[in-house]
Amino acid sequence: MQKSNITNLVPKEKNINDNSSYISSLSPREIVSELDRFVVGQNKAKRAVAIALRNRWRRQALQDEMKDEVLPKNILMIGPTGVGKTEISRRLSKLAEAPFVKVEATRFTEVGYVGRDVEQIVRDLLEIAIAMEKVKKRKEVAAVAQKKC
Amino acid sequence: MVGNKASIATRESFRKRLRNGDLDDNEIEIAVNESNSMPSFEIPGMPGANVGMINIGEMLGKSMGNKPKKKKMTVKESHEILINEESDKLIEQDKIIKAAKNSTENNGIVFLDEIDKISARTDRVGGDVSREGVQRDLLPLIEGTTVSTKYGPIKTDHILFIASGAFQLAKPSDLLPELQGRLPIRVELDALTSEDFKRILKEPDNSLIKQYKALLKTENVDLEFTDDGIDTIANLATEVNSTVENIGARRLHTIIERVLDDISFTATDNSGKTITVNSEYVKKNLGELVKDTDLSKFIL
Repeated sequence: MQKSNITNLVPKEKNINDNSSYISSLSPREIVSELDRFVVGQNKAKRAVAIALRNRWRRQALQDEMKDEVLPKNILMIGPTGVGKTEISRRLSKLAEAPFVKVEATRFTEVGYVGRDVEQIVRDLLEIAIAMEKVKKRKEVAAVAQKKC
Repeated sequence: MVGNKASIATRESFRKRLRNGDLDDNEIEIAVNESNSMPSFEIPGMPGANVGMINIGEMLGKSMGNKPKKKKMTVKESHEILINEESDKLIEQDKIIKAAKNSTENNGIVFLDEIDKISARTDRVGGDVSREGVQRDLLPLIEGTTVSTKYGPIKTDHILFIASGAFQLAKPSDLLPELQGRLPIRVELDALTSEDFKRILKEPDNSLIKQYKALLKTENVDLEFTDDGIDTIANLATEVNSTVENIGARRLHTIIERVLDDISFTATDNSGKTITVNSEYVKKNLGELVKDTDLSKFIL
């Protein structure tokens, strides 16, 4: 894998008019090079993750009927400990301006046993999304609030 | 800040000073609406019960708590809090929740770590809470189901799941067949070579070496790593990984910490000096340990 000059690949300006976030303006190649800054090698995993991210954006652009049909292609990463699986996800979460939760599967127990049940994942995800939206909205109205106080 | 009876002129002059930031360090007391966070607790054996519990917490909060609290802080800090409070008044909570639900359903990403640890192993002995049930619970979530939350139902059809696991003891085929089918894209991550270790040490934006350099810079010590020094560290890491236990890139942490042990300890006394870490220095601090497998099992 050759070294790439990352800084040039990141678009300097993003279109303010369209609602899409920074990450959706990144092509899979740019996502990979963005991950390259923090994780060495593991190109196959980076590519898969980048494609998956980009596919979300592609799906958003589809017509309603098709949009419902397109399901995300879930990924299974396999590799010995300490090769960067978790690191990729950590960096991805910072990169993706989307609600993101990382959970250890071992934290969950079967329904009925003491412990967390898996539906909590979705609830956590929603809480994170709400917090994100709040920050976004706060920025929007900050100027108005400034005048008031 | 100036009191209710202050004249217009006083207010004006204070406003000017505030804008200029002259008052930033002055301490004032303001009434803050504490965001009352009642810990949500779960009732064992009643999954989903905490949905209701949070609501009870909120109801209690409304009737009992949520009184403005007086707090002392500097003007600068208070500014941010006041802005946030004012902004919150302008935001419609319903709109936020609607947007958040939408972004959860369409953009949400869930990273499931250690998925191999919930696979059923045939050779397991001893009592353990069955994890296979967790897999069965995960199935509908990944396939697409509706989860009830306190903000209303959430469809999980379009949430992206990324699962990961080492699969050292278990194999991907040990997972429930349905679960395997729902994770169609398999990527294998390669084990790290000593060449990778070198790059990990040098290349990433905040690589280990850069971190240590920055840390020692605070003591006014310049830390230099020669290329052969880095090579030696990488080679030793590979060696220990292969002889003792493969813990991947984390091995570098233990090794570097060991190599720099002395330097870190004496850095305060060596202010202003430049310390070079070369191959010899690394070997001097580590060489013996690496050769002795028994010893490195405990120390590295």
